[in-house]
Amino acid sequence: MSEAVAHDHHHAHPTGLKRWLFTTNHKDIGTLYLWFSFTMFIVGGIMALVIRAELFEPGMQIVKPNFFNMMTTLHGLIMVFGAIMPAFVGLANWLIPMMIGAPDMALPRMNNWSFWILPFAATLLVAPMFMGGNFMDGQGPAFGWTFYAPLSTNYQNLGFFVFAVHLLGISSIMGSINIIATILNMRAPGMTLMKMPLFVWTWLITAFLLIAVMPVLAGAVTMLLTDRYFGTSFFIAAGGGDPVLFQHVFWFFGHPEVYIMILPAFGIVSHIIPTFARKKLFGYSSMVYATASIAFLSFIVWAHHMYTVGMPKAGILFFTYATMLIAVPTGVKVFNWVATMWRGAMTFETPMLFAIAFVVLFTFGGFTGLMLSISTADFQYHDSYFVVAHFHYVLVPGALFAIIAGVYYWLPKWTGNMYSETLGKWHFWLSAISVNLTFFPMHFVGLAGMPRRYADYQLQFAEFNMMSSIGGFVFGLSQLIFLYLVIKCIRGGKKATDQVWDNPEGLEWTVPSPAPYHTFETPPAVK
Amino acid sequence: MSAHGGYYLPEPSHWPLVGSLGLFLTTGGLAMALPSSPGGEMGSLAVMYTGFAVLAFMMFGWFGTVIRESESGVYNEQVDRSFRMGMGWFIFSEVMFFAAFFGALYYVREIVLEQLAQTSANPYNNLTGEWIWPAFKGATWPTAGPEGLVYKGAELAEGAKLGAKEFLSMKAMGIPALNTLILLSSGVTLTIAHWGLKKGNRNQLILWLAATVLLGFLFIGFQAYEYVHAYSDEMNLRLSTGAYGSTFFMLTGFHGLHVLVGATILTVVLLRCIKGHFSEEHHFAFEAGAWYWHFVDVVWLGLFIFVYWLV
Amino acid sequence: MSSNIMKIVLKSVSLLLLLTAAGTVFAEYNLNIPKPHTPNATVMYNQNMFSIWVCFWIGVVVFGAMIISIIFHRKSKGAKPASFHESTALEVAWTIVPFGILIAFGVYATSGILQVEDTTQKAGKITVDGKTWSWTDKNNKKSELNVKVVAHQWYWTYEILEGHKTVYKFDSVIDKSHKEASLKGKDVSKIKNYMVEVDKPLYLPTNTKIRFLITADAKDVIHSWWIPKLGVKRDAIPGFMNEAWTVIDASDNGKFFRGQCAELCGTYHAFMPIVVKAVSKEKFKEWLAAGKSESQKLAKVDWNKTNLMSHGKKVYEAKCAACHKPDGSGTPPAFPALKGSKIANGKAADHIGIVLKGKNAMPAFKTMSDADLAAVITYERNSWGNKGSVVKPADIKAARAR
Ligand code: HEA
Ligand code: HEA
Ligand code: HEC
Ligand code: CUA
Ligand SMILES: [Cu+2]
Repeated sequence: MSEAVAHDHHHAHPTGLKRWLFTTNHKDIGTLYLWFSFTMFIVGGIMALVIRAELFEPGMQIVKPNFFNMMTTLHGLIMVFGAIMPAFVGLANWLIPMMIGAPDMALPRMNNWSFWILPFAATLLVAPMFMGGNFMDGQGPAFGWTFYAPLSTNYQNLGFFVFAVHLLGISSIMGSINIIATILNMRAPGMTLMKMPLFVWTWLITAFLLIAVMPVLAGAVTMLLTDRYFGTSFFIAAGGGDPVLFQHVFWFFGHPEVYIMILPAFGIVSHIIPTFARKKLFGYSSMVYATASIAFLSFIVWAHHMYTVGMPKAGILFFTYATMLIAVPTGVKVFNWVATMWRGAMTFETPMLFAIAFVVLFTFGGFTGLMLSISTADFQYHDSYFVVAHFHYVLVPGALFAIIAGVYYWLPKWTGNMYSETLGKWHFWLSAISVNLTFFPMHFVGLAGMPRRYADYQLQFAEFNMMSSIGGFVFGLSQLIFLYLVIKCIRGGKKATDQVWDNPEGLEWTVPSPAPYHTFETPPAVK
Repeated sequence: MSAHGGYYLPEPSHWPLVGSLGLFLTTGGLAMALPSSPGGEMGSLAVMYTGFAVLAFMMFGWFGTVIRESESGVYNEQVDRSFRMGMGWFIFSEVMFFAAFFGALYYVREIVLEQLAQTSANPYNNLTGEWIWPAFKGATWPTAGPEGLVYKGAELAEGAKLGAKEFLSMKAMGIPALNTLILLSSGVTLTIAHWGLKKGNRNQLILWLAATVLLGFLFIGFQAYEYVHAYSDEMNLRLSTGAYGSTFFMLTGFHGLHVLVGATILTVVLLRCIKGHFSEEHHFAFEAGAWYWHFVDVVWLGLFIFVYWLV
Repeated sequence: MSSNIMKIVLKSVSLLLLLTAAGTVFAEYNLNIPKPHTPNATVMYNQNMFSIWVCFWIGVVVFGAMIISIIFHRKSKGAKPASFHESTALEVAWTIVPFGILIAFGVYATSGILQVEDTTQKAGKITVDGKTWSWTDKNNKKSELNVKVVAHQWYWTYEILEGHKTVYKFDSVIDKSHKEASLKGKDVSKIKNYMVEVDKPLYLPTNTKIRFLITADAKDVIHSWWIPKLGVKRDAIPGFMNEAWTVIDASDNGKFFRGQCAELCGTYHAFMPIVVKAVSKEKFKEWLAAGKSESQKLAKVDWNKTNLMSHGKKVYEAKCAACHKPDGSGTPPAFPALKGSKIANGKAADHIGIVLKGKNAMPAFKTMSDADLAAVITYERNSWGNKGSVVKPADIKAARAR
């Protein structure tokens, strides 16, 4: 690592709209990502509430079936590509340069491009909703976030969807290239790989996953496009293709994708728990190796989403074994977190509360994942609400809670002000309780046989669905507290110290709060 | 904008936003033009062309800025390394894009075909063939599927004529073999040009680079010829010719597109060489173009083996 | 504060407990996979219980350690942080132990798959969990009874097979009143078997090894045939054939087994239930014979415009109204209106052609009988102000031959 001295200290900082549109500053871009993510979270969340409102009672009261399917589809896509992934990229932008002692990201202009593609991609994704026909008939994509052929190839506005995915992919790939180049090339002298903070490590591996699988997704949607408009037969038996081929290509992307949504979360939690346990992270190097193992395994388990398509026995068995194996490195991480807490001196500020809830509820979601991996049992779980319960546990109190925990943890560093701990606690307890109220009953209806993506359902599932719906609304509204808290904290509040917390580890705590526009113009010394 | 040899951080720039807008107009324009029912009418492509124009404008502007910055010497070694990593990982992402299509080829050839077509040695070895496509017995790769055209071989016997419901596959040992030779030699010429650059031998650089670009366009010309031939009634090989046509044209088509991009990059690099832009040590743009070219080359070898040769 | 922390941890554990309890005590309250009725369903159920218990105990250990440290190792209690942060022995231990547990899982899962995937007829009986299912061995290569299940948007067609020949075929569509109540937002809370009632259930004989051949119409989309209590879930994939098997015990005679489509298949994915009735072998034979003669009767009817129109209305509402709407208005541009449509008022051959062959998102209905097709086409051509010709079954037959 040669001297990473920045030399643009003479620029005037642009202000107003131009600052945000043209920025090449990693902090500004991080902020843009985070606000974009929150906006998408609200949009996707409102769609979830439409789903929950419709499922409040049996019978169709609010929307038509196809509109319901469209809500399911767009909710899943927007949460995955619009809320969770951009939030992690936003955090990466803010934190990675500060954590490794770099002046900025390696390729700042491209960094801006990665971000500004997103709003356009999101526009392409939702635009068909408002095109022609009756709005309530659901003109948007309505084939699930997994867009299986040939249901998706029958969709009239397929082009918009395909190109939206292409753009999202381009954005992710450029963002990941930037992150990898930053981590590998911009570390301060002395910051060896095995000294890197875990958030940096997890992102390095996540970025690798992204570059490896986003192009495959691009390939999958391209095949959809040509099957629909240009006469190819990738997914049509009559021409020698196979709809199942689509699923293979999709899940080759899709499974690593779910780890893309959890590895950075692992990183965040690995920062927060040591800080509030006042004890060094247990098993740093095994954390690194575990992350890498998870990433490796994630490439060879994809067909566990396809146990019912009629694979040969050998295939089913292989994917069963490989999938179960992921529990081992993930377990190592969970055990390390618990060992970090063990004989620490814990306090329970809001970030720590979210982090603890993360460990508990993610592990719970992992357990149901393990149940799903057992192919014979999955013949009953597959495409039921049990799966919906599983992935919301790993995604909502999993990925989302980790993001929220991270925002609380670093917010004082970003804004220079402390957030309101009281509001934070309210936010936490309301969220933690309602998230369980929303998603726990889904295990029961799933096991009892309620299929997912159903606009209407049998009477026997009524009570639990009602609980879920109430929980969903409470959870959604609790997020308003978060919004209010963040805005309040940006506007002012108790001044944060540079360290913010009790002796936290990491270079980001050595710079002033709020972190200056350009940090580490001369690289810090790392012991 | 003083340059003290630190890591160069660019000023705010409007090019990324222009680029995003360009992408949006291009893709949105095409999406709007696509027919809403299959086989329907294409709409107007005006928006898409506008998008292309915006993208071209962006590229001129953005690359122009980069070249100016590079020439003014603000990029130190570390910046150079970032560019190298960026290019390297970008090429890796391209490899994965091709992997998706190679994977599809493998799957339709080895797995789907086995399910659709029963062998006569072991009838009823597969459910799908037995129950759904009984007439598709004994089919082998290349295939256009049970309801597609019938495969007639790689070439017709003397004087025979191809039926309307039949197709031919692309022979490996004609133009494709020639194209393999062309691409391989272009890799060599490019390397010789690179040596020239490193020794500071401008004539060697420009001559051999020009030869490389020429070979690249020659390749594209041959491939275009091959496509025209494939689409004629003599071969009946089209994008719509079932699984074989789909994988053949998507793989070779995307590859051809990449050759075009690579040749364009090298043309720009050539022009910059003529202008005297690069120094013996400092010529990342040249190297990036060269990496890309070699990548395109390697993909072609994969294509030649799996798409043309092993049919 | 401390009690709050306790709460979250205790809650997580009690949630786990609840899930476990779900399996045992509350099985009757629909908290768990329904009580299994077939060998495969039993295997699935057992694996489900096994994994719940293993996860439960791992949870007890992991969350237990967390609770202890949250209670005792807190700053407010004056805890001083220890300084250890590494232990190779521990890391190795908590890699090996879970790995060992997973091997047990793997072995168990393997035995399950081998049973579930075995559609051949090796033995006349199978014992799972102390319960035996038996079937008479007729010595055929595959199972005793083969049933073909063909999925369509949005109903199922069942075909009873003898060898490769279909001897009886019928469509099974969701009960019209259920669908109507749902879509019109009516009070559905009193409807019996809401959403899982069909016009014609599939009858299956007990003590018979039954093989299902599952597919979707070649121009359709993917569906999935799922009956929880029978332990069958298999995707119906256009152009491909999947298989699954079951055997039902005589003690289940007369019982209904209900299921639903389990793969998103478009607008009315929630509206294509599956109903199977288990009957004795004799009853099954009677049902089959009755079904055969009914379809023969339909073939012998002297079709005229009146009965074509009335029969056509029924078919239309079952098969076509989903897209083209009961009043023929469709939902353009996705689904064209038939009311006033050029094709419905034009040449009969074109109309027959598009229904038989399908077009894009319009499924091909070539598997429907001549009479049904003639009726529905006649109905479309003479309703909602359309003025088209009458189409007779013979016309369909002729069109098929072409
Ligand atoms: C953040 C996202 C995320 C994460 C981390 C996971 C993690 C896991 N998932 Fe999940 N999954 C999804 C998101 C995620 N999943 C989504 C979105 C879907 C649905 C997609 C769709 O169809 O729409 C899905 C669906 C899904 C399926 C398909 C279900 C179906 O459709 O039929 C399966 C099947 O195997 C599965 C398995 C697993 C496993 C084994 C893990 C493992 O990684 C979990 C490992 C963790 C633990 C096991 C807990 C901690 C470990 C210990 C404490 C050690 C000791 C434990 C043991 C030895 C048991 N998942
Ligand atoms: C990636 C993350 C993610 C997140 C965070 C969520 C969050 C939620 N999900 Fe999500 N969900 C998915 C990913 C996610 N989901 C995926 C991938 C699918 C599968 C899709 C498919 O099948 O194809 C799915 C499917 C899915 C279903 C199944 C639909 C079906 O099968 O038909 C349901 C049903 O209840 C559901 C519910 C919810 C709820 C209630 C939340 C809640 O947590 C949401 C809470 C948030 C809000 C409610 C917004 C907050 C803000 C406000 C309310 C403020 C009000 C606004 C203003 C003042 C402007 N989700
Ligand atoms: C899955 C939805 C769906 C179902 C069910 C369906 N159709 Fe269609 N139908 C379509 C679509 C889509 C088209 C338009 C096809 C095209 O032109 O691309 C169509 C077109 C038609 C047309 C031509 C109309 C015109 O003017 O172009 C006729 C006639 C028709 N369908 C008859 C039927 C009959 C009869 C049935 C039932 C036996 C039926 N359809 C069931 C989707 C459906
Ligand atoms: Cu058929 Cu869902
Ligand atoms: Cu997965």
